[in-house]
Amino acid sequence: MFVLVEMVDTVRIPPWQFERKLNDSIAEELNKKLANKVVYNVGLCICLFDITKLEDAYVFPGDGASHTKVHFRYVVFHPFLDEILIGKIKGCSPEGVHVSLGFFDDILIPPESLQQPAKFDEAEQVWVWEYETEEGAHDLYMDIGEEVRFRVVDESFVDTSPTGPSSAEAASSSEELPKKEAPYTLMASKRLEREGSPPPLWGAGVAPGCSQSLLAGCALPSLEPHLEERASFASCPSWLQAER
Amino acid sequence: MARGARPARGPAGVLQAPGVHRGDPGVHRGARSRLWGVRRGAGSRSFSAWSSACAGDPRRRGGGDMEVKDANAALLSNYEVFQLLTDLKEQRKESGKNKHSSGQQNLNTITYETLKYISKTPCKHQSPEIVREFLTAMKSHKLTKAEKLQLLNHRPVTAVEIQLMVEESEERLTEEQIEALLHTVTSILPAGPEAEQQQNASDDVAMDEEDPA
Repeated sequence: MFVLVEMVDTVRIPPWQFERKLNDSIAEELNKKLANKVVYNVGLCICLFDITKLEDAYVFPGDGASHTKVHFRYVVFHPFLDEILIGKIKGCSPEGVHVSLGFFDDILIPPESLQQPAKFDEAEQVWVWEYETEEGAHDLYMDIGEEVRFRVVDESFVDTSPTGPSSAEAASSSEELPKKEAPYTLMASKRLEREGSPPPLWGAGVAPGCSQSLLAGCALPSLEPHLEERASFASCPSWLQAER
Repeated sequence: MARGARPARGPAGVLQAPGVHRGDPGVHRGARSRLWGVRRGAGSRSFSAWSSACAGDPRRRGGGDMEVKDANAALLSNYEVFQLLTDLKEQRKESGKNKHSSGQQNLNTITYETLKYISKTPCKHQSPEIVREFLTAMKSHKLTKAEKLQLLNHRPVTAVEIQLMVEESEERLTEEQIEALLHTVTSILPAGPEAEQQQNASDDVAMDEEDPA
């Protein structure tokens, strides 16, 4: 989930901070600049890991502050492709299920990547997985706050640096606020099987403490009677594997 | 300018005070010689050509942009990040006063949220010795670094979870190997706070069931 990124930057220390130790001032400045910010094509920066090298500090004419070139390593949130993560459902919309990790919110599971068959319940504004078993179809609701396990399928970085005034501005009225785009979005999939392999039986995955949510975390009050079903599912994986 | 205000030291500063640049920072020396080069041959060149030449390459200017040297220098496990953030929190608590300045708010937010997230995973109870033991035990199973990292972060308890995290597990691992892997993982890595809760709940249920008997 987290990677170490080596970066180089010039840090400006104003004169009133000269009495502090240089390393501390630089660490504070770097954290102030990068913590909780998305760097384009790198990821969400968390905190400074260490300072590798400090080059000479210069004072330029006209500015009393010192400028130091720093080589450092930063902890960045950047999950690799196909990584499994656990998050909480933040909300559902026709675009898909929005999942949040607490510190990172822009994860979307598009409808095609949900376990099929899935449909969007307009009344409650939730996605529902219609799970077929021998007893009949069970509707498993993806409620807000439920923990879900998902696989990272795609990521997209958007450069949100401010642009200059464009000629088209005359056309758009001042009431229309510019659409805020998330600088870093993850596309996820709840179809956790890999390409070509059959989907794992979800019931089997439900063990005490397992947060494979739909069956475990489902808020349906009628979940308790389904406990017997879980026990029978647990014996299924060997059956499934024998079939293959 | 997209990068926001810069201190007023730009190319003009570099030219006017060459004596400032002692030492040998490659960038500064390079910038100066390039600008001087333009000046020397600048008999017929206009001022605008010179200024556009030095403004054109941001990396050559005084401090330059932030540069990413290696976007993937190392993978960190959740435990390492947890440890780092906890130590950072301790340090900042000791140093006292300046945590609440507006500049530090971002660091506070991200630290708090990330710690909250990791505290709910099994990684909270790990230690460097446990991680070392885990990696030694994993050597025999021939898994990739990413797979070992996922096992370390998630602590799978069922075969299904292993199949998700390990690529092509049907071809690479037999059932016994998966069982052995599960056993290694659950025995070496400590259980998470959720699993403990479930354990307590199921213990209570078991005790209740015994009573009527």
